[in-house]
Amino acid sequence: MKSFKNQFLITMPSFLWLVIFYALPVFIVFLLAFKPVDPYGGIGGGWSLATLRNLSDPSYPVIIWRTVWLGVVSTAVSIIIAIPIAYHLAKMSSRLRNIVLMLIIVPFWTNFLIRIFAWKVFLNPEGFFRRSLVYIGLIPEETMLLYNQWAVLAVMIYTYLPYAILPIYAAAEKFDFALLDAAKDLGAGSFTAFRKVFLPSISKSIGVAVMVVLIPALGAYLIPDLVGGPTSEMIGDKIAQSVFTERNLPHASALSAILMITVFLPLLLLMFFRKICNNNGAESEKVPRIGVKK
Amino acid sequence: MSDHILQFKNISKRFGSQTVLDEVSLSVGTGEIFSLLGPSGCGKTTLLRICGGFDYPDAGRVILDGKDITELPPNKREIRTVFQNYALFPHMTVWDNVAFGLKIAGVDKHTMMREVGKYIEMVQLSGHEGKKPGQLSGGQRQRVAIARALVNKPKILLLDEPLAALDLKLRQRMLIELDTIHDEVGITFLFVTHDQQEAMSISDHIAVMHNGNVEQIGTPVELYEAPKNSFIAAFIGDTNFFDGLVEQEDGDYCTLMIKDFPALSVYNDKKLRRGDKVNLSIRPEKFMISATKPEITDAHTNLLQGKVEEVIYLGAHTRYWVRVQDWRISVVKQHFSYALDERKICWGDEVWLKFEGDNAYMLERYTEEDENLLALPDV
Repeated sequence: MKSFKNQFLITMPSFLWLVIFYALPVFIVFLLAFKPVDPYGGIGGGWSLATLRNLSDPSYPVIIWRTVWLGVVSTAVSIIIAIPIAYHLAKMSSRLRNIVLMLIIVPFWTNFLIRIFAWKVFLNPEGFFRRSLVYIGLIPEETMLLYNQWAVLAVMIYTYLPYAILPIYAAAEKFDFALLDAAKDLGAGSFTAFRKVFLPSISKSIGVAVMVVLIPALGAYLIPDLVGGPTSEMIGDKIAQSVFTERNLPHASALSAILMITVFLPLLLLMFFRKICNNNGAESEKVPRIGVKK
Repeated sequence: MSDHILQFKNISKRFGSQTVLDEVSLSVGTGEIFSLLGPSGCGKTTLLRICGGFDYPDAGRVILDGKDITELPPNKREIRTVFQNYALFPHMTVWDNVAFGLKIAGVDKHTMMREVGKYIEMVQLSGHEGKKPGQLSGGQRQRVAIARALVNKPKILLLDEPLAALDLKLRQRMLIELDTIHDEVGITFLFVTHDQQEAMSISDHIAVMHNGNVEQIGTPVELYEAPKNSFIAAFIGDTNFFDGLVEQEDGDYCTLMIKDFPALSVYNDKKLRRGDKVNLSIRPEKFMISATKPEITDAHTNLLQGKVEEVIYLGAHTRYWVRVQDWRISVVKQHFSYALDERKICWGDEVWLKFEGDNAYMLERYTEEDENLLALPDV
């Protein structure tokens, strides 16, 4: 009992912190969705379901769908690129590894906005890159690289790739590469060994990377705002618009709530599956670790 | 050459400027336990990795059962390895670890169930099938590694210092178990170790390696009783080295002059001539130690007189260090009879050491290089 009391005391500050600065604000955001709009851009008194009725805007399902697919695809591509990078990083000599890690982290030293503007310059219709592609005939003259969903996707992958690499690298670095030798020794080809031994060993970190990339990707609004056109809006843009342009806080709250649910749903599913897996392993966990006799 | 399942032919390997293997050739007989024995850095592990396909030689061929496998990748060789740290797949259960090779080979489910079950039972792990490697003790992990390697019925099982991670008692037990498993499956074992006792107790043949060369290949008895050079004599078991000069040939024997000693009569299998310098090796147990002067009946029996400097009683035998002038001789006395009734030889006693000329072994001429070998730890 005493240890329970101690644990309670020790975790109390962080618990309070989470309640005050995380749970409460989230709750308030949810609550705001049920408040009427004040004509001056504030929150009116009383309660109203008007905001929820306004959500039936026919453009929203399209935007939500676009948000989900851009988020999921950019996450998937980031992770597919990150896994071989992490694998090779872990196998590199430490000198080369430091240089490559440095190169991965260096973009963080530049402001995010400036990096997006760099992409705008890079993909510019009059830019060198597009002109070269047209010149060698890879794309027709009228193709635009900027202001469409593909530009958004490319910049999202560029932005979130380091977030995918770092957790996977952290796991790959601890991986015992002798296990791949063992798999080959037992008859597995290089790819089979990679798939059956390396990937399962780093699966947890892949899960972490999915979370770390997917959550900000779904909430992205600067990237679609700057490199996407009006046809590639994401839900984050709509929230920003409601807050800054339409001054409709309840509407923004409702959209945030939808976004949050979209983000939490896969998280909950993942946790659920984890629990199932853990329950399968729990039975053998009870057996003493050493000196087992029949 | 069907009696030799594995042959290394002039294998050379360099890492940078360092020659790790220098034209190594050896043949492993079908069905035997063959050990590669040597101090760390002698190249034995590199040779094993070349055999497994994890390293490729700069020159030379590896022949498995008549087929040249030098260039084959590991997964195309009918060779399995028990790795030093077992390299069990941590995310798989014992069962899945053992079944891995069969799954890759695409064996049907029924055969797989039967074979995996059989090998798990053979290594006495029945009941542990569902555990992960992290839940097993060191000895159990090793059994999983052995079962996993044997389940595909390889032509050769490579064992890379498989006992190094275990404590002494367990090591001795696993050694016996390995021997039993070997008898059961009849697969050739290639065993790498730096521990001469391990190699001596389990092997049919041992190749002693040193600085990338094979110094001698032989049965444990051959290596112990007839070492080819002082390195082997010092590395396998304990011995006393004496450098001396052949004074006179005498049929199968010769008279040897060693500083401070009376003339010794020693068996001359190397056909050394008068004036040849030799290094004489006499194992500690070949001396008969006694407090009274023993009677000499044979012309080739030699006698030394000295003083006991150290006595270490070890139960089954006692180890003495006897000072004879400048020499410090290690002597082992087996207690065949009840030791309490024996007349005790104590520290400071004057003693006689007797040894037969047949039991001493003459090595090659003593060279400067041997100096460091003679300085090997004397325990």
